[in-house]
Amino acid sequence: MTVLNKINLSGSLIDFLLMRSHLRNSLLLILAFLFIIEGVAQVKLSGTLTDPDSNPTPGIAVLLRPRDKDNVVAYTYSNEDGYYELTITRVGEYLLTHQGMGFKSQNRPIAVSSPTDKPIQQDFTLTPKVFELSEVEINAELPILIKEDTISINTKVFVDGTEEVAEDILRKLPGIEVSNDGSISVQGKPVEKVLVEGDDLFEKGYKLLTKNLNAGVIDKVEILEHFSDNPLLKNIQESDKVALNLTLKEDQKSTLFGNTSLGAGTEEFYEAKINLISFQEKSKYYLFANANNRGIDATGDIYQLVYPDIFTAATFVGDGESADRYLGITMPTPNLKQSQYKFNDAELVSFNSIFNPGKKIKLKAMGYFTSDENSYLSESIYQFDVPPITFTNTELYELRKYTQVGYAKLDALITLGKDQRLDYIGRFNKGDFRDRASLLFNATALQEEASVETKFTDQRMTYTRRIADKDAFQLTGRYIYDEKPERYDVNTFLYQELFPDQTNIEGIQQNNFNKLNFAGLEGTYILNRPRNYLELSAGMSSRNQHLKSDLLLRENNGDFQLVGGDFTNRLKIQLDDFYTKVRYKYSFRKFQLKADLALHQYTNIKEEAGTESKDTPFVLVPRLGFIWLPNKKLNFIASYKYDSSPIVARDQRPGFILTSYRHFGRGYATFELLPGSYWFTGLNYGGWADAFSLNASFFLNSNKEYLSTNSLVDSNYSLSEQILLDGKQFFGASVNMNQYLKNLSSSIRLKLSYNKNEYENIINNSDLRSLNIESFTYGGEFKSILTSSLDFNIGTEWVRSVVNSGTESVNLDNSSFLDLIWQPSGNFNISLKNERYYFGSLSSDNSFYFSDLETRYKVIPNKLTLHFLASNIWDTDSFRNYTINETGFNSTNFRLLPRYFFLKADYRF
Amino acid sequence: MSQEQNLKIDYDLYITGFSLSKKSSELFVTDDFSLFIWNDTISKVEETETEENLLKFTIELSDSIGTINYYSKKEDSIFTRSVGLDEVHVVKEKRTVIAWELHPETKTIGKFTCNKASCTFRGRTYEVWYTPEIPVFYGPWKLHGLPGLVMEVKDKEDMLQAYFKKISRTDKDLVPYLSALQTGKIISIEEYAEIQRKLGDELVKKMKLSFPRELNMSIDGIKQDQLEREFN
Repeated sequence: MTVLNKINLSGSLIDFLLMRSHLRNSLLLILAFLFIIEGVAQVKLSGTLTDPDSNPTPGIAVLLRPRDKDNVVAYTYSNEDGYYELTITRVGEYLLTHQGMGFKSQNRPIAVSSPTDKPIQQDFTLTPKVFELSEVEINAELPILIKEDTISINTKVFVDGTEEVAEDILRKLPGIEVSNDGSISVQGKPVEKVLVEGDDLFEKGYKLLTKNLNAGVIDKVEILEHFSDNPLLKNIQESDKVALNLTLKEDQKSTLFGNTSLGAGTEEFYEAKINLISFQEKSKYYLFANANNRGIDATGDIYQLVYPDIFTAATFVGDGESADRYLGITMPTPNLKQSQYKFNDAELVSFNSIFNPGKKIKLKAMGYFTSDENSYLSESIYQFDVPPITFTNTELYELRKYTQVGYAKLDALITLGKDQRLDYIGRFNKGDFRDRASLLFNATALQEEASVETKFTDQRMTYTRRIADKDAFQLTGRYIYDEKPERYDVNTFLYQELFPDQTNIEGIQQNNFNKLNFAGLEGTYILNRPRNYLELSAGMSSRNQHLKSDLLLRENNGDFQLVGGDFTNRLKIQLDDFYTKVRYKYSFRKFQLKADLALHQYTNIKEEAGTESKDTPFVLVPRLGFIWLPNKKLNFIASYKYDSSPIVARDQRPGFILTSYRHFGRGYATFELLPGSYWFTGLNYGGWADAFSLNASFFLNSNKEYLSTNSLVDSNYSLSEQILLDGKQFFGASVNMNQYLKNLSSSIRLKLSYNKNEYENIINNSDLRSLNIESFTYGGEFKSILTSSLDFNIGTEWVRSVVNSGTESVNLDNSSFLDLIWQPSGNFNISLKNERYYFGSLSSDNSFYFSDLETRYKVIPNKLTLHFLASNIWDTDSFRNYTINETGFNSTNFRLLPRYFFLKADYRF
Repeated sequence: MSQEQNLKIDYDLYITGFSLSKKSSELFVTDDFSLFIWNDTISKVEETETEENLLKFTIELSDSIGTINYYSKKEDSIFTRSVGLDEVHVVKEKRTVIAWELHPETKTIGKFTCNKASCTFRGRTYEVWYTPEIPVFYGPWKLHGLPGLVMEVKDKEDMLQAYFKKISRTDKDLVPYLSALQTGKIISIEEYAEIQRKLGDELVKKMKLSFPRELNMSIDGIKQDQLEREFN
């Protein structure tokens, strides 16, 4: 009864019945019938395959299929002797087939009617047949929907309900990677933006969204490859950017979420931040507020919302245009982190919103208001040593800066059909900057006050039309207005020698009114072809600048006296530019060639004291670039540009302007072009994953003509004017090397760089002084992973400066660090950073030590994180640096933020 | 003998681990052996900078030759050329016969009627569609032994996916690939498993060591997943 031993569950039941009831024949019959249908068999099927000459044919597949179906129930391959053996496990009717390359296949019907059938033998004599294969090609599709440049992923398939925030979902999707800090990348490329329902509320600051948006509201995630901010330029303007788009569930389209961060420390330090985000059916809102006195720039968090263009490749005529500033009390800053020396009291509120009133129109409105109060304290010694004149000045500065800025931006995107769209952007900015300083200059006490109230508007309209799949046309019109009225007062008169006829003067005032009107129109045609990319633009711009400046002397009776003459500017400069530009890129295998050419017809009209002068130079700016990528590890870049840039308006000013309490400066007064050539070459070998890597670069800027200065310097004041000289050179080279030491789990890094600047100037009616300024930086780092949770990093760097102005002076500074990072688990880490600064030219108190300790503990992941900070542990209260320049040296002592301990909590709601 | 004697089958191969990468892959079938050659369509050791100067690293190990799987029914061992972090290995392993489970489902891919089969191999469950209409014993990677050409492969967790694209005759010289299999340190599959296991730690180390000091960095842990997870 071997058959019954192999029986399945229904078979066991039959077995049982067979034994128990011999009499119930009818039932038995029915069961026996079922037995055959469902029957399990073990019938051997074997045979030999031979060719027509009776030689065995090995390696031929023998398949058994049900007679009326396509599936395969058993198969084997013939062995060296051509023999095959199969077992038929079920009763039924079959087709036995053999399939082999080079032989015609044959089908034979086989039937197994009862589990006890005898072994079946089927031999085949194979008929040779050339395996005919016409080339076959199939276009397969991934289960994840890939549609041109959009990959759409239904999140349901990949999530398991444990996800809390958006990034938890993203982390689980194939192809998407979320790093520890929240940066997202798709297939190794960092994503540009994360949109919600096609709306971009955060620009590059998407982490706010992905770290706070509740996971439950997300329906689908789309990966947008070759992303372009202007969808009409997709695949036309070169882009390898990636963005994500989150689609929300139908019933979850309105939601409110955000986070807050609160911290307080000793010495009355505090920090508070809140992010509040609300999504509605047709609109989205984002509110951000921040206040701190820890030296942190409050606008840093919204920088990308204010200046999104900086992060995109999009450039438009008029980018970066603004009126000049001449005044403002500034102090040197130490080469330390801002949070070490910047005493502040910053507040910021910002609001960002998107409205979709209709399908064809999208409105974005953004605004912020910030106010800040900074204070600095420093003490410096300045030694001037250009024989025959030498003097030493000391300054004790106490400076306060008050800033208030209001900003608004309105963005309207209007779709004019499938291939056309219109973008309007309006920006408005109003700023109020007031500086107040108390200064002890040598033995004289001074009070300085500077203020500027800026008004800025920028209106841009861009029309885009897609002409064919790979061609597009874009037209941009722009108007910018900027004004910066400045006022500066100092309550002491240091310039008696300069104004020998003046008596009873006890103060001085500088008034500037400076405004810019800019208008530009530019049309661009883009052709994108395989290997070839061509961009043709033509446009015109008109930059109109007015400068009105006066120096006033304040008499001891309070009356002001206008100095006039050389200390006055009444200047109007209009620089018109008619231009065409060609940008061309050619890619061939491992080479890329870029060639640009710009042609400018400039018209510079200068109106000054009733006289008008006009210059109309024609300028050609060629640029060539070459990239070579011989293999994955090596790349080589070289570029060259020849430019003749016109002297900017501020350098054309004929009258002196007081720019600080002891400095007057004026421009070259005449229009000129400043021709120069710029070389760059760079070489990159290996990356972080290679045992050895090297970066080397070299640049050379040669200015055939350049603006230098002719100065009169006295202990109490300096007066300098720009002069045109020829032959200035600036070049530099740097090499970085990294060697990985596998056995020590360590790496060694070496850094070398060298810069040299050669130019000339005039001081105190000297001949041309030839100046040669060199700086040589060299250093190394050693980094080691002591255990899997403890890292250590030590390094040092020397900077050697040499200034040669006939006599040579040398300065050598050093800075070193030692960092320890301990991370016993993913939720907890401690880092201790130590620094030492050493100034070789200071005879005493020339070393400064700093240590900062930071710990982070994730109490509830995605919900609550605590930070503890010990800043400036040694309570180093001041920092002195030492710099040399072509006229002498300067040494400044800065007041620093004291030691403090700080506790901060981040909470998501 | 005809010049174009070998078969060449092109697949679209996707490895969807932490990053979705498409590879170019070719299966060469000769009378005696098969070679499966797969490589990146683009080289992918990248270092990119995010807006906060945080570096992001992605690595895919490959070189100009790529990974080669050699399989011959006539030999006891199969060979794999594997590109490591610092060197190229040739992994030698015992030829095993995959115990394919046959399923009743059929579907058509292009003009070919395909049958479904599945197996568990090296810690993953693979679902395969093959067609007896092209009587080829070999398949992509190490998935051999079905009575017909493998047309589609998908593992249950979607790490490996291969889709038949094209079959043609070729006279391509396979000697360079065979000699590539003879250069490189020969290691056993157990040694290979150990190297793979250590790879993550090794990469994290290198990464940490290459960070500039100014970067605030912490690594919460290593996520590591290999195509082959069990080696017994």
